[in-house]
Amino acid sequence: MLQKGDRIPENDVLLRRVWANDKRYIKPDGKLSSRAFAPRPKDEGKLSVDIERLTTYKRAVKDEKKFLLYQIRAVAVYDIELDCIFDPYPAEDPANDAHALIIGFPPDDESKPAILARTAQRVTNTQ
Amino acid sequence: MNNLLDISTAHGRELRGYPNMNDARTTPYTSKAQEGLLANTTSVSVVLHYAYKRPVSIQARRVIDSLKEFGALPENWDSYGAVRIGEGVIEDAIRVVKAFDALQQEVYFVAPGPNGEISLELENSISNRSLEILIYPDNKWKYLRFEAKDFVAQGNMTTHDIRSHQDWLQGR
Repeated sequence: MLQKGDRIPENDVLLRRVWANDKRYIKPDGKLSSRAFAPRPKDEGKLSVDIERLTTYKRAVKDEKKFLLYQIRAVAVYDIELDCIFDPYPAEDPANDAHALIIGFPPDDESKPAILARTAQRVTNTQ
Repeated sequence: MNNLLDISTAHGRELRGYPNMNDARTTPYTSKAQEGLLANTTSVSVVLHYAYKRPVSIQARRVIDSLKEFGALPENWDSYGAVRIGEGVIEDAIRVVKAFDALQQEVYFVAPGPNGEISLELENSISNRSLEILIYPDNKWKYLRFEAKDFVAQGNMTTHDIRSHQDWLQGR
């Protein structure tokens, strides 16, 4: 059983909620803009995801009128020298027991958000 | 008057200021409107000025319209604290779109970023290369290059690098 701060196993699938209200981050072919995986300064190089096996798509997407859900394998995160740790019940989402963080984004390296965006696959059934 | 001049080259120079006559090359005009303009003047500078004002393609116009829409995004436009896109960033992005358009390279997708930046994406299906340009509020620009799905390079860039990025996209 995962404990807070544990490394997420390579074969886990991570879910990333993406703002979709006006399709700003969604390309015509359904792929994501790198901006969907770009951390903000306040994130301190961390990016929120949920662990698929600990949640449901409906819970993870929260509001399917506003968000789309994309999935990525944890191993894809490790392949580009980022890390992913278990972080349940974060302050901004205190009921979320499936929350994890992708960490280690170097501040001046834009390749990692771009690679993650190209790797992510859309989850189509979020009911 | 000799009607041989590369308007796309001259147009591309608008980013560095007024077009330089030394950049003129020999490519035939095809536009009747341009020929008409030429018939009434012997001044190359007027021709270059016309090139400077050269209209963009319909596709580029659509992209520019999208970029202008970014200016209307409020603070927190993605509900996770995204900051507004500044006018300067939008203007820079439009300049980049126009510069590539003058080189007949389409910018196929643009996106606002959560930190006030804009992402522009270009690709060439023949070379299987793609390019992402990021324009930040602090006047810094970055590029990312991909061959198929593989990341190959990133770095800082300026307007002076646009031609070389276009060449790379073309597989040269």
